Amino acid sequence: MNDVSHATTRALVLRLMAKDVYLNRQTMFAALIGGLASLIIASTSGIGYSIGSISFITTMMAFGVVLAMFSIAQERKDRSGMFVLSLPLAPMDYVRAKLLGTTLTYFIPWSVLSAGAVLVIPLTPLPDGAMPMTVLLLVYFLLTFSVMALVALLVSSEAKTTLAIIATNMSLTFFMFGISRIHGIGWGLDRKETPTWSGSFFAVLAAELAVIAITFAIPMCFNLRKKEFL
Amino acid sequence: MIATTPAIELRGIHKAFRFFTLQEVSLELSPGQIMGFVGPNGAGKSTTIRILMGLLTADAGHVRVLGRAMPQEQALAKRDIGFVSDDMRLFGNATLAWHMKFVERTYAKWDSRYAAQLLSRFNLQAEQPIKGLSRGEHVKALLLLVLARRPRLLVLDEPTSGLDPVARQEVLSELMDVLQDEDRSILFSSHNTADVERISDQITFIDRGRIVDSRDKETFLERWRRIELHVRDGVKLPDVPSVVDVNGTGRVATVTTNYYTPELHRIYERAGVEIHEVQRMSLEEIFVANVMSSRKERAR
Repeated sequence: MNDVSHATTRALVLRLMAKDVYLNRQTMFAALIGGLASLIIASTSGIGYSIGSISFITTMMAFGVVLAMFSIAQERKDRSGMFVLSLPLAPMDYVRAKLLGTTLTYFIPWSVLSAGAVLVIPLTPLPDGAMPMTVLLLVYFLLTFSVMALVALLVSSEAKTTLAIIATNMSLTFFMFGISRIHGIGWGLDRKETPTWSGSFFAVLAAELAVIAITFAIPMCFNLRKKEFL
Repeated sequence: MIATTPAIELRGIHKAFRFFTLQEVSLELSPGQIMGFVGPNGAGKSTTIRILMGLLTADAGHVRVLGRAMPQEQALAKRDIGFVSDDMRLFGNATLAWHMKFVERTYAKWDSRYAAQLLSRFNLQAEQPIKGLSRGEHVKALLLLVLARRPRLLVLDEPTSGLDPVARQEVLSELMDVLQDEDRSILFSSHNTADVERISDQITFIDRGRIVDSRDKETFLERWRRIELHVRDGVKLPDVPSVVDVNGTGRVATVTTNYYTPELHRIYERAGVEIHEVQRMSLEEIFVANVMSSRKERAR
């Protein structure tokens, strides 16, 4: 393809990404409202913090699952993906547009809510030492979303997708339990008044980002070899 | 691209699935021609169309559409292809107006005036969400989106399937209008031979993953005949190569030929068989007889 063709394809990929944001605007809005309400509740002390935190975690996890299911799996199921594949682009461009579009749709509320979650800590009586764990948890939401998006892109079986939803939800419990026991992240530091950015924190963060990068790379490589796109 | 380049060129296409195989499929569609692609359910029509659209990759064979190699050059080829399939859906949460705007931004040749005409002709409401459309309205919306961008090739995979008679009539009438543009080619797949007979000038029959026959519609209609014969006692029907089916016993027999000529009369008369009636066949009868004789041939 020449430069003009590349530019045309790029423009179409961008339009498809914008399409995903537009079609999922209500889900994004609901996640933002739910997440912000949870943060307000969490910024109160005592029981409010517990209720708000649980509600916030549930909102972030549910948003990722709903988005992966409705934006990716549903498009395949209701055959609207066939309409997109009739447009002047290659299936690989479609996969790229779908992955980037859905990620952008998740990323917009995620970044707003993550900024809100990070701001809540210094602005409220909550101990600032909880900051590193909060950051790792927020990145973990992005990680579980990327895993769900990967599953929705590659797996057409509803049973396997349900299994993946259960697994990613359960993994959060293990993740929180795990990092709270790591010296330099949890282990009492979350109750201190100043955050500690230890080597363990950066190691876990790097691992999370690596997993996210891999989950993004897999559909690109897998679909290059895939011969059937419907 | 010069005008003589075939709109569609499939050569020796082979595609194997677990329970179905497309074998040695070859077909060619010239610019300005309308090909009816007819076959029973599960014959391989949609598989062939998905291969030519680049959505499936053949195990063997060559595909060129509008002079572009598929699936490698599909992004370029699809700029001039309008594809509608019976299982294709628009985005339920968006309106038709949103889809029209989306397609308009994608295709430079989008004709807004023609789109408005089609909207009125198909009695569609641009601001209505897609999820509120009936099946017929959905098909008409899809056709509007491809016709208004004036593609050089239309690939329609069972577009009239599931439509009520009025909606089908509207869709077919619009397609007839589109045919006025002599440079536009159409591949129209269906198992409804009445629709195909109405708009096509070339017909290809496919059955069980193989092309059974392919030629222009008039040749099919001219060559195929059903002949009622009176056979005297003790007279044996002669073997005629063009006869694909013989029915009846005793004094009355009906034969179906795929190559009717006056010579056939002489052959039967010489054998002492009287021709009682020669009937023209509808495309549906030709299709069924063609498929059945092909199956018998393969079973031998």
